[in-house]
Amino acid sequence: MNKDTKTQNKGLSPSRAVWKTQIDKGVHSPHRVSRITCITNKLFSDKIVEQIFKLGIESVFDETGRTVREFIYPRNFGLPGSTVKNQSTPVDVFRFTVQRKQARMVMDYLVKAGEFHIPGRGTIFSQDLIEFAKKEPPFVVFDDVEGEADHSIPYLDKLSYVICVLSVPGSGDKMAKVALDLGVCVPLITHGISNDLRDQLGLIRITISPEKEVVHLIMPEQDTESIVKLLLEEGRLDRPGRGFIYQTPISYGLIDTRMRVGRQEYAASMEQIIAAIDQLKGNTFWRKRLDTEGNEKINKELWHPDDNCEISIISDEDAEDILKSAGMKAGATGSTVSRLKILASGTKSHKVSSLIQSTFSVSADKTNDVVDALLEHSAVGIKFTERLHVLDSPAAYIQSF
Amino acid sequence: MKKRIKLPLKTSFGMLSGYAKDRIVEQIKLIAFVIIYLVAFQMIILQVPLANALPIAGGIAMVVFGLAFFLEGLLLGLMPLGERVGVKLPTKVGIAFIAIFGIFLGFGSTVAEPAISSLRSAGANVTAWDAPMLYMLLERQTSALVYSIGAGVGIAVATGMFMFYYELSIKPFIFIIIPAVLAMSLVMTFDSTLSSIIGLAWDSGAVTTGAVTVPLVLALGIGVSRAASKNKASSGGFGIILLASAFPILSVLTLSLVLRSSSPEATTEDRFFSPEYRESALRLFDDNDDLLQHAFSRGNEVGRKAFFADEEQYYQTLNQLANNPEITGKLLGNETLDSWLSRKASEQERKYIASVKTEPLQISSGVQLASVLKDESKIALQAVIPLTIMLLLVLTLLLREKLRYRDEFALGILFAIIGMTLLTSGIRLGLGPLGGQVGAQLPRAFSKEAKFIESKMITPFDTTVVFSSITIDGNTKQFFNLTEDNEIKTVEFFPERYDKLNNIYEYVITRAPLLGPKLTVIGILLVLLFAFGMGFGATMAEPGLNALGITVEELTVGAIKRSQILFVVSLGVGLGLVLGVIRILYDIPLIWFLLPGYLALMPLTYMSESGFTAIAWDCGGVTTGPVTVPLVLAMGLSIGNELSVVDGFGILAMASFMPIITVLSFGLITRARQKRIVKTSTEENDE
Repeated sequence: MNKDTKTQNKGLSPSRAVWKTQIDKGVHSPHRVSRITCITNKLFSDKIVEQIFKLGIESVFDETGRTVREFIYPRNFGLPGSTVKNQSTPVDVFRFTVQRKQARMVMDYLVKAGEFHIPGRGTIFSQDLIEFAKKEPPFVVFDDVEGEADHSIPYLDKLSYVICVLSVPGSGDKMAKVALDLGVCVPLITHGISNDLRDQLGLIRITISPEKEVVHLIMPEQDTESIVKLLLEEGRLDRPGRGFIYQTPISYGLIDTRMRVGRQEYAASMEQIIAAIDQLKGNTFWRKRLDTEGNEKINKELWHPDDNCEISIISDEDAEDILKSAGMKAGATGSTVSRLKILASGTKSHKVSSLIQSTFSVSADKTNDVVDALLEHSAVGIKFTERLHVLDSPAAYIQSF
Repeated sequence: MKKRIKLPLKTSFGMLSGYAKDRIVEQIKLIAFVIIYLVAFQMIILQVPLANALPIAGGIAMVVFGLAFFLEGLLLGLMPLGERVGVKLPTKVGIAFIAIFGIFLGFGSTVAEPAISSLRSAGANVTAWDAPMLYMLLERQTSALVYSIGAGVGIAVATGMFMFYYELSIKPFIFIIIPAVLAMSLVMTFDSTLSSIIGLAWDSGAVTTGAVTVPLVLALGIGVSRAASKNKASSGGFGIILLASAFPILSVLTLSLVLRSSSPEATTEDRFFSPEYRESALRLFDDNDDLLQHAFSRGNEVGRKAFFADEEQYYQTLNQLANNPEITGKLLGNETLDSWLSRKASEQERKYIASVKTEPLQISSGVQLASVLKDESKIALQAVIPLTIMLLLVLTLLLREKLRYRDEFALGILFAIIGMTLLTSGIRLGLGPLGGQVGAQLPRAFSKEAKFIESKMITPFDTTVVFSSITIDGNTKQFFNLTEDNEIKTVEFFPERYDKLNNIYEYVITRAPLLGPKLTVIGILLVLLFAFGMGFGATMAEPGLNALGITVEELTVGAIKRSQILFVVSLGVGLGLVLGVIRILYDIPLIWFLLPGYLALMPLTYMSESGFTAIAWDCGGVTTGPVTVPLVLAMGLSIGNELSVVDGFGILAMASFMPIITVLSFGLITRARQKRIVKTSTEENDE
């Protein structure tokens, strides 16, 4: 990339800069799309997938994860009080892209199918991003879709999607507990693999586990900074090698508020009250938290606001090494890899060995180069299953060596 | 691209020691329960001091290190290899080749692993006259037995591959195969010759899936499933271990049907050895010498006497046994005369041999560490290397793929071999003898009379050493002081045991029953409690189960933890062993447990979710491994010996189906909890 283009793109957000560069290049055409993410209890996965295919969307990516909730049991032997235990529930995380203008209506149908308006059913949200793929997402003809959906759903907007990538085994559960204690949301935990540090070491790398626990949290935008700083403190992420956190914006969504299951002491639970007020107010601004103590302890040099981009590329498992080295050569610090399955409608069968999603959290000035390098070394535009997504990340907390 | 980081030696050492410490502490935690349990039971309840404590402690330390190395070797080397081959196979070759590859893999792994030796240990007391068919399969047709088990496992792996490739649910396979096996076993119960095979067949299924086969086949299945699956109904890679436990049962039952005509009928011991029956008897032995060896190693005095045409020949043979080392070796095989005299000789035979023996008895020395390590390392190499090479060849030559971290892989294979060697040696030197000691004492808990342990012939016996002592109520008892191993013991003198003619005193060591004759029920409960604890503790340490647990935790992203799987499965095995001991104690036919047990599994399987069903059934297949089998057999054989029950088979089969029940129940409880989140929230929001 030459100096002139860099100067030109200086005022633009990372994703806009990528858009402009690739349009100018003319090799890969970017599309402005919305990525819809559904986090649903495995009991309802089939219903959701069926509805997605009924809408004419041809393929969905599925990642396995678990949500953590507090279960409240009465004490044994009739003793007074309750015991609180964190229990995990297996979930499917479905992700697919649609035309931006149609995202809301598609979500309405899915909310109906999965009953996401009921606490405990799951979470659904939409994020605007740029996608590079072989084909644009199909145009959904809603008239052909059977059944009606409620189009007046009061989605929450101004939400943040905070992703914590943790290196120490067992820290996912601890962070989930912190999030539950703070009443943030129902945490989602998935597994990722990252070999960035390991690949730089010799055989001693066997002492470092490649597995990362990725904790996904959704919270009101205005609370994000204070909550993230608390999470950094609790997870001791200011120490090297323990992990990092970054956030991406959510356009709108319906969030699962059922954080507690079990014995309820009052006529309505705290979550029900909060959900009701959110609905009445139409937003979450009313529940802005006060600033918490201890945020001065966080190392300001490592906190990068307004400066990042999330680049994720879905590819065959074999391409992992090539893509990672291409990305790192172009300036990325590393990637987290998670395993995905592709579910296709009809008789389409994709002979893929297995798919992975490599996610890079990259600073703004490197974004264009990294995207360029990844597009060059991938089969995006050739293979139907391969995609590259670029999403602005307003803030990130990353330790670098 | 970042350059390679060179860490200072101190940092590397710190990282390595932290990593090693974590692994070893983990294994100590897993095995601690069973060790403490066994030692406490021996010393506190049975009130017998632990013999050879130092070698046993050393053996247990070897087990801990062995488990740590072996498990790490699986995770670094074998499982990544299996998974990579599995992931690549469906993309490069068709299902036909995958199935054929599965057959070779299953067959090869069975023949390579030493599981068959567990079956022979279980059959150590099987006698040719009581259970001729069983004896024939274990001792005469061993190759046929191994190959039929291998064929069963091969077909199982091929079927599993087929199931993953076409994303079929495991339930139809369970509903077809299990009833078929049960029906065949039930039919065979009614034939007196074939009924003895049922225990062997079901135990074959239980032992086939060994420490190396399980993780390898599991990883392969997960790879194939990941590559091929596109919908929700698939089992996710689990199910092969169940098939590899069920198909061998069918193949062994079929083999016994085929060989039935060449086996003599069951008969009494004296009739079996008599010259009139010789022709039939020799169908199970090479020649007369071989038959005579069986009479000595497994028979009693009545059988030995029946063998000879007249008594003079019998006594002549006894004389040669006592004085001619060549004849001793021929008649007793690897066993020493000293051990045979305690174990099998009748009182008369002992007296006679003591009277004709010209040289003092040689006391056998303990097992040598070096020779044990050498033997076990050979077995470990045989178990790991051929399978690894086979998979590597398929990966590199056929699939044209490379392994990602070759140095890690090589290290993993090395760890697996070292680990397996240390583990099996440690079991042989430490855990096995510990279990054997406790197991040998166990029948005292429910026996009504003093148990004979061994007898020693004191000759020439100088009666002047005997002195009298008087009790409070005026009775006199006679004693003498015996010096043994530089320790002096005062022993009671029984005049009836003194042979004046030959100047020999037979010093008989017995152990009193633990509880009085009226407390036999409590004694039996004690034994059952012991069986439960041992089954629970030993299963927690099984490497195959640990590997399965790690895989389940990974695939469910932590929704089901490894510790939960370990606990629930160990609970199942503990309960299964309780049933197994009850079966031996009351001599209940095996089918009476298997039939209701497996039938109870059918509705549980039907109600459970497909993916979890496969996990649960695999848990059942994985349980009986290198740690559990020796301990369980030591216990089973000892109790069986005490009660003169024919064989120790069937216990392992019990330890296989109970865990399936506990895991499926756990799955249903977890599912109910999941539904609870959704159900109550729906009720709350009903408008």
